[in-house]
Amino acid sequence: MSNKATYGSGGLSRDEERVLVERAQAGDEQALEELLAAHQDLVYRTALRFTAGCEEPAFELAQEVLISAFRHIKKFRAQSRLSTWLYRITANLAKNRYVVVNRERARFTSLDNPSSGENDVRPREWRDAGVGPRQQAEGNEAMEILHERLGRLEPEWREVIVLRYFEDLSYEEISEVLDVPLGTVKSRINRARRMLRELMEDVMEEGHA
Amino acid sequence: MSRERFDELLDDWAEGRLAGSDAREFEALLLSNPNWRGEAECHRSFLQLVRTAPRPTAPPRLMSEAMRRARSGEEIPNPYEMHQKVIDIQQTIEAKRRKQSGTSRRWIYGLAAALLVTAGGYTAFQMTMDARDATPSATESPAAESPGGEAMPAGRGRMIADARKVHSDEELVTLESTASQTEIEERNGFERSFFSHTTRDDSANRKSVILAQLLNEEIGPAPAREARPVAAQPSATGAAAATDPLLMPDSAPKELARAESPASADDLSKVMSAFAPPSPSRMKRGAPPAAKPAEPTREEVAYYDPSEGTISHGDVWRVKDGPTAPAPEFAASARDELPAVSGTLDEKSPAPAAPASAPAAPAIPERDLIFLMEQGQQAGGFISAMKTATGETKAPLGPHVSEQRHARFINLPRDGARELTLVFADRKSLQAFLTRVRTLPLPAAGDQTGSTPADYLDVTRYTTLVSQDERTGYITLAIRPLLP
Repeated sequence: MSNKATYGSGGLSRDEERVLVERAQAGDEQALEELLAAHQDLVYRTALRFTAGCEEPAFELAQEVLISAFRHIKKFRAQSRLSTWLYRITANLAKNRYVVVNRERARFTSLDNPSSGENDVRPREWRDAGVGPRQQAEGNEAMEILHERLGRLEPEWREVIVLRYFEDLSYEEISEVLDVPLGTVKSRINRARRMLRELMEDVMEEGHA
Repeated sequence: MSRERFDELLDDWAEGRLAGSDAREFEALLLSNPNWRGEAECHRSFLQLVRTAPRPTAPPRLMSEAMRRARSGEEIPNPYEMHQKVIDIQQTIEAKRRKQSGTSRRWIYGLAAALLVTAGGYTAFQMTMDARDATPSATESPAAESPGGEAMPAGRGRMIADARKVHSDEELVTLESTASQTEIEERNGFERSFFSHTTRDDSANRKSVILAQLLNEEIGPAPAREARPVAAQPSATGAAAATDPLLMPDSAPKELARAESPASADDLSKVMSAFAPPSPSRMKRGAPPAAKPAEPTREEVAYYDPSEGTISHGDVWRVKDGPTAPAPEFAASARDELPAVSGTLDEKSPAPAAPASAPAAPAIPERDLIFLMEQGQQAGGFISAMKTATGETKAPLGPHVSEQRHARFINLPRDGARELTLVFADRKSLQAFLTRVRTLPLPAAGDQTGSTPADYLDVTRYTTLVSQDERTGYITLAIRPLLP
């Protein structure tokens, strides 16, 4: 998975990331800002998955994650990638917002439903530009459904799906992010996958047909 | 075990990374369970969807906004916490509203309860007062101790204590019945004058006595006031001698008894002639009264029966400028059933009818009050109680106080009492008092010793009510000014 190297690390190599972390922890705000800017897409995208594709709460959640990282960078121990630490922050903050997101998701615009407005936070560019317009349209419709069904899952199941299949983290990384044993991660993923498949059954059958 | 293996190999199979023995093992698992194959195919579609899904980038202002907030120390409001705060606020408001509603409800209930209690209490009070008006009942007797706290002397003190008890027992009923009769008489234009007596029987152990008749039989007419100017009091003595039951001639009861029996108008005229007041000139000369009887007129009056608490209406024959006697057909039953006996001492014309709304009872002038107290004491009686202008009943400090002319006003109102109650040990003392107040001159105004030329008490301004305690024999005389 090439995505992992590109998005999981925020586009930084491990050494570049370590240097920036050291400077940021020493009080270099510019290094900190550069470090967080490299991971902002990762943070926003993960937030978007956690908020079931709702842009407004995803934007707020992403801001909260970045601000928290900015204020507590010294607590980062650098034993894992910075992305893992950011995933953990995102997952923890997203849990707090679960109730609200679940209540308000109906009035928010879908991630893939274009909207126009003064505060439009819709993604402006798409990294994966290799799909054609028709495929993109079909993919957008399917992704909208996927987000909607994903939002029906409890946070406990949703976060492992997001980290495993959307962010392509390994079981070990998920275990580190969620701070749970590896076996728990595997069982959660298996159970969450079955639950999501049941939710997506009608969509998958149509796709096969 | 095979399910765990299926789950372990599923992701690699869906992404095409499975090869070798693992691939063959997984294919065997799929063949062993058709559902697993469908499940694996569905998962591969899901992964393909996820992999081909667009990867949104962060909005440009995300980083700048986050850094601005991070540097400024501004907190990002947590929607969850805000949501919880909104819920808390809503619950608080709702709880406050319920509390206020409950408080208002409690106030309303409390007010309603207070109103009910007040209405009930007022109704009970009214019923009590009505029952008191209707049925005389004994009240709590005062302690046999002076209000000042000193013990009563053995002889006279005991008499005073007992008399006070009697007066206390009868006080309410007596005063109320007096008021009732006064109002009734005023409404009917009934002529009243000094010492128009009313006796009563208020309980089983008390027997009503017609003191007027008894005293009249025993004492006879009061002496004439020799020093009283005729011009100033043209009719006092003569009329009193003729009409006051206390001062009736010896033949009067017999005449009265005859008058109470059914008789014709002629017989009644004869009877009434016996009560005709003598002219002042004849009284002065000691000559018998004029023989020409006045024509009786029939008037409707009301009799108050304190023992029954009822008011009976009947007719009386009134002789102009003369006494009043019950109508023949009513007198017998009234004599038997009603203890009220009314008479008049004054030969003057009847008092004008009182207005519909009777004014408040007038006060006894201080000079009259002192005179009545002194004469009562001189006659062997004593002051029992006094009703003040506000309706409050007060008693003097004790018998020793009455010995001092001014000291007896210590606890009595200076603006005049509405009613004075004297107690006498026997009828003789009462008659002596009545004689004294009719014959003795009032002390001069401002003169504490009394002087001449005398000014006499205007007895026409007062009415009395007499009651006797059968057990002790004490006689209570309540003196009350008439309405002007």
